[in-house]
Amino acid sequence: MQPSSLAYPVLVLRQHVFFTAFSFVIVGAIQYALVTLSNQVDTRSVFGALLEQLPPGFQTMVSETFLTRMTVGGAAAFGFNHPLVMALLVINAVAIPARHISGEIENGAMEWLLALPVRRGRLMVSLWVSASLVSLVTIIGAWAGSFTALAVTGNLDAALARGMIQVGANLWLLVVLVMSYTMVIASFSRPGAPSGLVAASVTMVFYFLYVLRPVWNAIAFLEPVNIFTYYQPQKIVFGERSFALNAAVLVALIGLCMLVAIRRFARRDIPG
Amino acid sequence: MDGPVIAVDRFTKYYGKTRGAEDVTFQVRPGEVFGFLGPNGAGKTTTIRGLLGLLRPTAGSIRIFNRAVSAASTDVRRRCGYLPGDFAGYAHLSAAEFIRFAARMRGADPTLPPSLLERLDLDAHTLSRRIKHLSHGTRQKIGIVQALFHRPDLLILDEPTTGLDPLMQETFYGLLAEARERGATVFFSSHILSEVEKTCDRVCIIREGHVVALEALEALRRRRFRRLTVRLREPVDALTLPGARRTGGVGLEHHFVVEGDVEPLLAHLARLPVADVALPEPGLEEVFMAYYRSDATE
Repeated sequence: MQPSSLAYPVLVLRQHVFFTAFSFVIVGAIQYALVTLSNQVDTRSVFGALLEQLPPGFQTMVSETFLTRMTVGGAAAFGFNHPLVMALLVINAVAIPARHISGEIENGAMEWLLALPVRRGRLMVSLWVSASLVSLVTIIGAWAGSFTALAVTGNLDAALARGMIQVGANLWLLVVLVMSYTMVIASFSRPGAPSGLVAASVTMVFYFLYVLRPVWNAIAFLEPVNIFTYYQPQKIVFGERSFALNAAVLVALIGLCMLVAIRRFARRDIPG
Repeated sequence: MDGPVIAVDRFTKYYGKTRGAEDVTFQVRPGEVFGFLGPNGAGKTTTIRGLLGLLRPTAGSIRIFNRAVSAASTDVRRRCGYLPGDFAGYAHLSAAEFIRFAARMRGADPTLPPSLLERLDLDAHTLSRRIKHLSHGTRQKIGIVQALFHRPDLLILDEPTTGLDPLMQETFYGLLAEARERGATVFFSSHILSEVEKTCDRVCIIREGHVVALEALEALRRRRFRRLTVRLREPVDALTLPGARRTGGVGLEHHFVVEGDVEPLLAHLARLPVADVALPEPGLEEVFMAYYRSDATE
């Protein structure tokens, strides 16, 4: 009998089933609420009045990224960029690899696991697939909430549906990239090192640099190396940004991270 | 199989500048129960991790079943059962789920082995509980089950009786004896000398990363460092004995540590006014401690 290639992914998925279900429901609900709200309320005038109270720099930032696209479709795309949605996805993307690599090296489970007839590279790929699936379930929650609300409000058309699918796929690739560089960090970390915290901090730095970019020209040169540059949901929905370009860059970075993580993990000492 | 099951040749592992093991060399023969003795920090666990390909040696090599061991040696590990020193398992799984998971990862039949579970006193209630809720001893029993259930050709056990009560320890020794009867080779580390005396054919003693003794248990026990007590009928000036070192005494009673062959010593004693001689068989504890002292004859 051959070792089961599903046993480990199932173990990982089972461990995260509650948080995944929670994320699915919350993200779906946020999407549904945002789309229905934008359909019922004249958000443009409400937010326009609020915008006038802000300093000019913030007005530019908010109007560019938010207000000018506050249509129903724009609201649906904004939901995919909502801080709570991003937080839930990033928590999963960072916590799963950190827990299953650094955490299990520290508590001894990895030592036992690698004494089984398991290839280390295969184990890393299994973990990556499992964590990617967890993120995908959350994205499916967002799609479910968006499409249901768009259908209920009578705003769903083919172009918007295509845009929403691209936004979801783009977000999933972004989250998988976060997960992949967390795996790199975890595979280099010593037992007990806070690899999840390091990965989360890196992601936060990327996010703040992205948010501050419209009001801080001095950091414009960082734009090409910021992962959030390759995820701009409202621009995708409005056809201002190529999904294919974003996806190509993110897929290339994911591939690079996975190569480094697998190679490093295959060669490192356990526990190290 | 021909040749040793385990062949460790000058295995050296440094963690940065810290020594884990240095120049460790030994072989384990097929069907042998091999004890690996040493105090904490001696290099036992480092060597065991080397056997499993968990560590990359700084120098030297390890072969198991005549194959070089590395992280990629899945064919070697398929034939091994391993119990880590501090077995934790997966806290969120029940004991039964964990055993099934181990079976699936090995490609073995995931049916729980009823006779093994019964002997280790693992009932349905215990098996249904999550590992994080089990006592240390019960977790250790689960660890023993996952190491043994697929009838491996080589068992590598790192301090396997830790946390087991004396009755369960006896059961465990019985399981080892059965594994040996069916032809399995057993390598186990311990610092419990009585269990090594009960179960092992040969012993390797490791100290500060180096092998300091490697021989059959009987030979090791006989070899050196026997304590000798001589009670004389009358005082003798500057009593010295060949091959013995005086360690103390009161009045007519003298204590020595004897190293090596006792024949010249007995011949010398025959010429002295001796009232009584005690030359007890050394316990392994005594042998062990002698090897572990920096100055072994003190």
